[in-house]
Amino acid sequence: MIPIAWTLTLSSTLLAVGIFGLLAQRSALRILVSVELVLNAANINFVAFANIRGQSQGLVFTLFVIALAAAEAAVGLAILLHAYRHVRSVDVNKMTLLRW
Amino acid sequence: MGWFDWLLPDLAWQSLTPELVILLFAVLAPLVALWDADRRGMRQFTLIGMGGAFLLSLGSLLEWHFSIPGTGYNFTLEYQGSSLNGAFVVTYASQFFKVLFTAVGFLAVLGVGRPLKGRAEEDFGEFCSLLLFATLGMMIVSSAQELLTLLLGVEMTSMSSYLLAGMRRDRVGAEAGLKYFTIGAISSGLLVFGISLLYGMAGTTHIPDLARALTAHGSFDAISLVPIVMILAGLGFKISSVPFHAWAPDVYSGAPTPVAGMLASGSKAMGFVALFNVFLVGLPGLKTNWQLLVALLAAVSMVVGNLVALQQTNLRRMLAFSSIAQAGYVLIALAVGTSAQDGGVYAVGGGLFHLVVNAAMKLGAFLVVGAVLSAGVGDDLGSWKGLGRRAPILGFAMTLFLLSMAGFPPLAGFASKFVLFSGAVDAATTQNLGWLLGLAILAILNSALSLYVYLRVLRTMYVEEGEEGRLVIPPSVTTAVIVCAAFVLAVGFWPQPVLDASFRAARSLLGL
Repeated sequence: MIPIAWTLTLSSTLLAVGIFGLLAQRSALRILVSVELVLNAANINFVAFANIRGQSQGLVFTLFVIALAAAEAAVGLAILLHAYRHVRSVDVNKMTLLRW
Repeated sequence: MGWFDWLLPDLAWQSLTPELVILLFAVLAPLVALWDADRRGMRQFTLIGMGGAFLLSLGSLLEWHFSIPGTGYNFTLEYQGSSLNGAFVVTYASQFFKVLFTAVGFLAVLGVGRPLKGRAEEDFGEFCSLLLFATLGMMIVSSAQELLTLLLGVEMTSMSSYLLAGMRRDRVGAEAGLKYFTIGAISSGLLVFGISLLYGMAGTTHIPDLARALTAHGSFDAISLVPIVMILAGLGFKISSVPFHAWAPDVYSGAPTPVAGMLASGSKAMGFVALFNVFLVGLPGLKTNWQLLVALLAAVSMVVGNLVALQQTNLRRMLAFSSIAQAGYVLIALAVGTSAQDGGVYAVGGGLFHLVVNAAMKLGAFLVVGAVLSAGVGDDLGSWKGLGRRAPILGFAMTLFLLSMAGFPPLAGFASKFVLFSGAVDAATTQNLGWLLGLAILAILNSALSLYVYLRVLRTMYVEEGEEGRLVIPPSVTTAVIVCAAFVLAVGFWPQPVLDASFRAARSLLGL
């Protein structure tokens, strides 16, 4: 059995990579990918915790989060296409009409 | 019950009727749009769905009783029922919020001024369907007693609102949608990660079980701070509290105005329901970790919201920042919620009361702005000169909304702010917590400051001279605005029924 500290290290690293991507990337497409990383980091946590506790709750949660990620990708790509059609770019720094 | 008992054995069907009505209408809406050529029937169809769900929720809240004479058939709508192993629970509090959410949805559909222009006409079926789905998500959150249900409800609303915010087929709409989506996706990622850590700590995701698993240890501990901050960030985005508010002004000014109104009223109330549920029901044992953090967010939201609102010249942006400040006020209830003597019923009741009143005035104000926009006037302060004379009914309603937001005495905003702030003062004096008193004083000072923000708009509308000529306003929008204004006036003069319902909902929310 893999020690819980190892899986937690993996998931935290994945979270860190995801958050770095969210903050550093300008392309909305890459931001979308980074969000998937964060969600999957959470999934690893759920599975690991469910495993050491011998429960199925965490596994069920993971299934729902996977479905959620798929729905989010669908909605996100639709919005991305919409933006590309009007701005001709998915660079979030070029979204300058609405600013404060 | 029959065959579906076998299919879904643990479902209290009767208590689910409002959700089922909304679900049915949401699924059918795009189909109906195929047959409906001029899109007028589409609006009526959606209004029937929202109105039906509203009546069902209200009926169960007030326990309406029906009997058909001669048949001996008796039937009472009630607010009890637990489905899916206690993951979805119908209580007084949940029905209270469902009444609010369906009312907001109804008025938002009624307030769509001119969807029938240009290419957006083709999308009206989808628009209605998404609005129904967003409402359904909010209703699920209000009944969620399980973090999974809560998450799914929040995400259902979020994803529908990303699309609703980007509904306009131009560059502004595209930007609003993309900005809302990126920030929303980040915060939902954090929310899920926070929940996963909480599950690891407690071994359960059922909210009342969380409270039993994570009992008070009195001291501050750094480990539990991580999931708390993440969940606060995830839900703080929905209520647009300050460090997570960057999307609000952009999205509110880029989205169609009824959608902006829905985001500032219903969706914000949903965020608070989720916060109250997670923190006051699930994590009261860890309150030393989150109480000061929430108080800090409340203080920063109030101050930043009102100070930035002062500098805005665009009305929708000003309303967005004022809505951020309102989120700060309600956060006080969360900070006070566990430290008051009577278990926080007074403070949380005040918070719920303010959410209801805030929904009426924010939605109303956004609908007025939308109506004025559709009449060809801009939404910058300069073009609103003399508007009070050009559109007397809307001008008067806007006056009521703005004064109520500032907390002017005979209006609803005064009553709700009074209860909310006095809850904080009460907790501060009985529990000897000086910083809560400071928070209450800061909130009162902020209310005074915000009066200047709103009076500036009123001065432009009534004192300054501008263009002449009556504005043509669609009658359905006027109706929706009048309903909101009447609510603000009525609750201001006679707050007792709504206040009692809020306190009862708070008691039921806190499980007392």
